[in-house]
Amino acid sequence: MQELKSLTHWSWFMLDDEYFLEVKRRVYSALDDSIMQKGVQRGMASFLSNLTENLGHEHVLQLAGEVKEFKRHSISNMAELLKQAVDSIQRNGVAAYIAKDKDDAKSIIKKLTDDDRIIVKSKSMVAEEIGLRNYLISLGKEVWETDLGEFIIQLRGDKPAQMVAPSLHVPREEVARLLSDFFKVDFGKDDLKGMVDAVRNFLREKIAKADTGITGANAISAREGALLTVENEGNIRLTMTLPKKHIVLSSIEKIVPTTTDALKVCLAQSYYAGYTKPTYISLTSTPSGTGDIEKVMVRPAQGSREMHVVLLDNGRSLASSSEFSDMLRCIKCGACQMVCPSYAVMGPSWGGKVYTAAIGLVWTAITESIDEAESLSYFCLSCDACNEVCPVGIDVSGLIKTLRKKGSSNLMNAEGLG
Amino acid sequence: MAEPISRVQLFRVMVDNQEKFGNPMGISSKRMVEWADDIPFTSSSSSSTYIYTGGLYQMMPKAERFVELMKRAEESSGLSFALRFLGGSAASTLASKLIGVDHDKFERSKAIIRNASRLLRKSGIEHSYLGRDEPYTGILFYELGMEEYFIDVARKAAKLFREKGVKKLITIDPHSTYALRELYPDFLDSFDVEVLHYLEVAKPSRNDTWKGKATVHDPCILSRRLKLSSNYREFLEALGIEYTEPARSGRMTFCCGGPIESIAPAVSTKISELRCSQLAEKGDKAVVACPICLSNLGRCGYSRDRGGSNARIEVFDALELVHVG
Repeated sequence: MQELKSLTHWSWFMLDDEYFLEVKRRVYSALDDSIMQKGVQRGMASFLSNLTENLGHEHVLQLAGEVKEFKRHSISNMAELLKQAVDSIQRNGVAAYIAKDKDDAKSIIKKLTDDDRIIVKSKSMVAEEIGLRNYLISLGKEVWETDLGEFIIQLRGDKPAQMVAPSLHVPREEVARLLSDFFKVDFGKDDLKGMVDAVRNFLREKIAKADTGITGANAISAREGALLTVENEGNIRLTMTLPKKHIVLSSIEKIVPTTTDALKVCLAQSYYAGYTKPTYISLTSTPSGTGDIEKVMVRPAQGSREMHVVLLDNGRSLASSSEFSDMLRCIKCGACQMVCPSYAVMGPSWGGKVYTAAIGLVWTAITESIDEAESLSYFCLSCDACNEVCPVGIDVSGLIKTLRKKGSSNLMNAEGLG
Repeated sequence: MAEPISRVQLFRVMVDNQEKFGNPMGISSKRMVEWADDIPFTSSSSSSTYIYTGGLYQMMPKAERFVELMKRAEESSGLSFALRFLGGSAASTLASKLIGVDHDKFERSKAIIRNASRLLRKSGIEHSYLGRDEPYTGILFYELGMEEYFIDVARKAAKLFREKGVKKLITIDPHSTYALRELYPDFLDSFDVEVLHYLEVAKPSRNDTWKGKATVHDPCILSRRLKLSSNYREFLEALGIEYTEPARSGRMTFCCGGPIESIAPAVSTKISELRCSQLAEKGDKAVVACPICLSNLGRCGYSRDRGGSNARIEVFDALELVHVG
């Protein structure tokens, strides 16, 4: 009788843990994906030597310390800064919209792009968050990702593997296969230059013809309404200037008090993403124009004619007053992902629909699903490698442990354990 | 892959074991204290300094078998079905009995703890041992997110230390050290036992009997939470061990995979293999200072034919390199 009782109890429980088991099956199936692991592990190895070099510079550490402080301050004043930023952006002659969730953001962008045929995009985690590319395609638009890694993701119909390097999990052999198929040219796996050239030529044509360019922003200054982006490829600059319309889709935690602060975020993001210096940092605050003829302002000049800024909340305001508030300091450099042993073997399978690994689990909790994030949290080693490299001092593994604690205490209570 | 094991199966085994045996792996107190059989400890009243084993070295050989069994269960559906019952409250005692302990590995664990005690004595640190009364810290429950249960276990442990008049504990593994030093004062109302790790107090002498170079593996907790990487290296230097650094070392160390060995054995093994191959790039011997690293990296090094690992590396605990004869 006793056995029977525990058996029925047990079956009831199995249903309840089904979500965890589903996540476990998913990450287990990634363990045999040696192609993914090759890409991720190669990337991690070269990242380590780059980051180690950067961390050897006193100015890099000092910069990170400064960013940590004003980001901390910014997050505790997020609502106030948002108001200030919206005012500044509008004062610049730019339309500003606050989107409370994914659907809201999509419908705003739908209205803004109703008459457009071709849209080009730069890589943006926030755009991934709302599923922007596929949404616009579903509306019948021709949409192209202009960041090489994100272009690869688009061709694969995949999700980004990492914050800064979305196609990290795709080794060169696989990229060559993919691009050979797409361009109907036979690329050897080591013909990196040939591949990059082909994509460059293809995308330049698309950017030139595009009606709208959509970019993200790495940081936004509240005081001046300036939007800053950091990149190496040059695609963001083209995307924001060549098409007539520029839409910035970013999120509310990116707002910092001043333009100098915003610039520091960009530099720190670049250093901690493993680059010695960024190739381009772009600042934009108004549509392009010229006053060269008799000081009369005429728009556009060479750049975009109109600008719109969409600021996504999607759980962030809620998070700012929760136990996950520290996480909003994140500048999405992805360093924590690139040193994570669990990520080295599970790759992007260890994550939600958009954000993966280490801090990606917490982003998943905030922007997507707390249940998903709880289940994912059990595959964290609590080894603290992430904390060691976080420029803004987020206790990443501690936040993941908070998620696990939620999962476990629900379980313990449900089971009458402990 | 058949059917993965759920969280609750695992939690139940561990909680049941804790209730029945005082540790999550269900090691009997008789086995726990075996290492001290031939060490004459002074009666506890004469000293308030104790060596604290935390039971981790004793538990790891059994944990290894347990994880192996879970891994097999997850790989084959038939066995998995049978093991569903492993989590049933009535069955965990049975399961604990079914899982034997590798004799050689258990003897090895005993020798490591004995070495620790002898080393401390040689370093002039007189100490007692709580023997069968020694409580488990509960750290595993904390790491698995079972915080309330951890606090429960910790309270009982702290009460016991108080009753026994324990003033100072010398620990031999990073996990127990972290629990006692950082977590107990945080979670308990008053916890004023001084906690020292052996790497902070032991004074080893040169060991010329150990030959060869060793790649040094920093246990995560030791290097990042306790910040004892330099003590660890000074210790090796005092022993006269020539060591090399792997690509990921010190505060940038790479985990052995051990912490999730019970929740996701397949993931854990993959990480162990990766770490072993990183260490093997620098030589064929590695040194660790943690029972969990020793177990996970050690097993991976030995089972080089399995799971695609080609890391041929022999793993030693730092306490195996000391000369206490």
